[in-house]
Amino acid sequence: MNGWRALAALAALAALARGAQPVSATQSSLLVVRDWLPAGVVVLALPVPLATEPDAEAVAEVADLALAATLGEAAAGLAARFGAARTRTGRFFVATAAPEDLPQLYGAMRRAAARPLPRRHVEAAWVRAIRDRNFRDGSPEDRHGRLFAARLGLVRPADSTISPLAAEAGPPDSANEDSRLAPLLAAAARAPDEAWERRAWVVVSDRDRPGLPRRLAGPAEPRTQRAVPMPASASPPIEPPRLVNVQETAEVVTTWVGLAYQLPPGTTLREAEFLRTTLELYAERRLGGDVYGFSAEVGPRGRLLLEFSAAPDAARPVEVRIAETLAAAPAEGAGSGVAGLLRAARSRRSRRLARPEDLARAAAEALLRGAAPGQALSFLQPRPVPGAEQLAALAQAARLVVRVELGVP
Amino acid sequence: MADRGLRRACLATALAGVAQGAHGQETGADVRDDPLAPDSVLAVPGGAALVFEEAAGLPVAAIRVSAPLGSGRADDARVLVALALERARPLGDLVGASLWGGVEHDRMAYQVIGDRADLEELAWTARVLAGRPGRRGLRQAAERERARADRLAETPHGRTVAAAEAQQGGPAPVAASGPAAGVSIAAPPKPGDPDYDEEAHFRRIERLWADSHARDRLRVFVLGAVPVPVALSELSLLGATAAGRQRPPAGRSAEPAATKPTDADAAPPVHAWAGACFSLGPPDSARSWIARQVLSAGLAELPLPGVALRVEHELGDGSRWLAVTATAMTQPAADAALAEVLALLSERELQARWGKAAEAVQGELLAAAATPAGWLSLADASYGRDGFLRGLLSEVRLAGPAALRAVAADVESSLVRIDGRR
Repeated sequence: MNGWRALAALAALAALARGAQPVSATQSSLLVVRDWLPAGVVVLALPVPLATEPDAEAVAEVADLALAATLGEAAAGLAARFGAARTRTGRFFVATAAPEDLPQLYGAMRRAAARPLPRRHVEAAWVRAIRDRNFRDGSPEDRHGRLFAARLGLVRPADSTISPLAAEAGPPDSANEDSRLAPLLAAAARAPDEAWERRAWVVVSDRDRPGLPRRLAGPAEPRTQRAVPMPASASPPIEPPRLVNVQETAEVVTTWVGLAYQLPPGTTLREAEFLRTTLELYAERRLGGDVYGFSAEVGPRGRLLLEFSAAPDAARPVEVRIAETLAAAPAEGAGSGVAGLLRAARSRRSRRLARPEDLARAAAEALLRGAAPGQALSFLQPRPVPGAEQLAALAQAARLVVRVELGVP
Repeated sequence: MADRGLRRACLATALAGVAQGAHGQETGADVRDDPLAPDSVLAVPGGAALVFEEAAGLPVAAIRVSAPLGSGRADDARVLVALALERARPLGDLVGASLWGGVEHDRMAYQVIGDRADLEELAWTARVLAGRPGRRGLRQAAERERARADRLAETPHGRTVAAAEAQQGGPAPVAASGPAAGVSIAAPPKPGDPDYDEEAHFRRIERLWADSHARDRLRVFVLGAVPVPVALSELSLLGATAAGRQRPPAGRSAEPAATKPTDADAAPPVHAWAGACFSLGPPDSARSWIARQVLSAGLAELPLPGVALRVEHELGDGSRWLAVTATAMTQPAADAALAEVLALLSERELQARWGKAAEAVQGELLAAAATPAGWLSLADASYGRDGFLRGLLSEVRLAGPAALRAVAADVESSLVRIDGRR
């Protein structure tokens, strides 16, 4: 019996040494192998905090800056390029390096994420976070973004602790720390592996290499395997009984509009992604100069989130045109509905998946949504492309559930 | 990239009877791992050089066509590229391809990237991009070029950019007269000038195309899972035939030289400003890459309250000339800010940031080479130089005190200050 235990312990140690921890409910590791790969990528993805803690957003902001600095330091000497990005679903820390350096890079990042963040990085991050907030706070885009996120249930509507303190704009004085500041800094300094329930590691490499996550046996079969069922299992859907319609007035030049569409149950991530891309193309090609700052995203709860800004008298017509486009049947041809843009959407998605950093992020985002590694791999396949009728049916079934407008009285 | 040697051998055999003189360019073991070393290069007699990089895992096909600028004017080249993009855009939109065109590394280049299933349309788009220019859109393209020149002339930063362009040998197409005068060269008349002749302009553009886009001067890069026979049939007949080639226009040396831009009388009197342009050394040298990174990192840390800094890296053409403008409320503040920027490139400051910058450059280079668009651009820039990227990365790792001293010397010897004092 002891012999079996020892063997099991050795196997577990070997797996840990290879960085191939067993996939748990909270942490996933995925190796994506691509034939042509001049440089490989390691991505650590953390979820965006939901409105559970009053300061969660502020903590995440400081922690992200500190983590980026810590990861860069941990990989010193490896000639890696670091970047960070954020969507409404996840926060992504991306490192790019020569394929042969990936095991070392991955190991260094894993070790850094398992330890509390160095105090000096957290303090520097605090100062920078305040500066960034001072810079962007109050801009119409930021105000609208917060208003929209609050109605989506992604952040608390009220400002968090960091804002009242923002005016201080200096480094935190450890001798006279504000009673609210100390716990915030302590929370930001927690090891990412402990601080966040769900984490995803994705490595894009040219081949299996010792020290990288284990490659999944056998290729994923995208034609038979459903992609990620939405909404993600970890985030139970919030189904508002009726449309939440918020209009806030402000002295702004343009009107900002946020629209959230609930997609029908069972929509796959692939279908949602294609719908998002066709709407993005629609905005670029058909709305043209009427809108500014258009963005389309699949939110963490499986809703299609659209945001844009337009002249006050143009905002409403733009909304109507978007609604008409979603409602158009495929038979109406390329001129009206989203289905007509399907071929261009396929090309855009392929181009995105051709870039290793975007490929890794797409995989990490799928994992954060609760996909199993095999499902995430399946999602990365450029095919199959949803049919025009399938996409049109999905668009027609999308239901507007949140509408937020920030504009002149 | 695996089994490259085997593929090359098969390719050479398969093509032996197709194109006499075609050759698979065999690269040595040292360069085989270089990310920029293509799988094969075929030189069809009288045709373009076809560069293939097989990438079975890529969901896209990417095509780049480039032609030498030669003695052509950069402003005419921009118009020629704009006309090509105008012609090809509807085709690209049809399949959602991404189109890009520009002048970089002394070449006119076009790129088209899209889903690999749309290869036929992508190749068609590439043929249209490299095709004979038409008159359609000429006036608009020429007016945009004119607007660019006027825009450069009316701001301190634009004047500095124009000065940098003039210093590196390209034309600085800034208006020679009128309120926008500043940096001036005798450029051909443009739309809006009384003696502008659209027909003559078109003939100049057509001549530039016939000369630069002759088949044997073109390079065609193909990245993706594209069968070579398909690529050969779709892309080997691009550009102008030798019969259509005109005598090359007069060399750049025959054009009036750019005047040194030291007269700032016409600068808009909004704020005080100071500008400078300088070279960081040979474009593809490790030291110039690192120096650029040192400058970027240094600028991010420079506390300059009340000063607006603008840095134009590379001027979009792959050279290592930079233009820097500091704008402030007072002249001493602008001068001081510029001095601080230039101090970042002193030996002492270079020394302090060199190691970290070298690491960052390696990451940047690899990340750039890992995207289809970046690979095409770098592969074109390093064409014919086997092992370029590995060599450069190795140089970057080894670049030491001598390299940074050379950067400081390059900056000092090439520095041109643009005086904003009125």
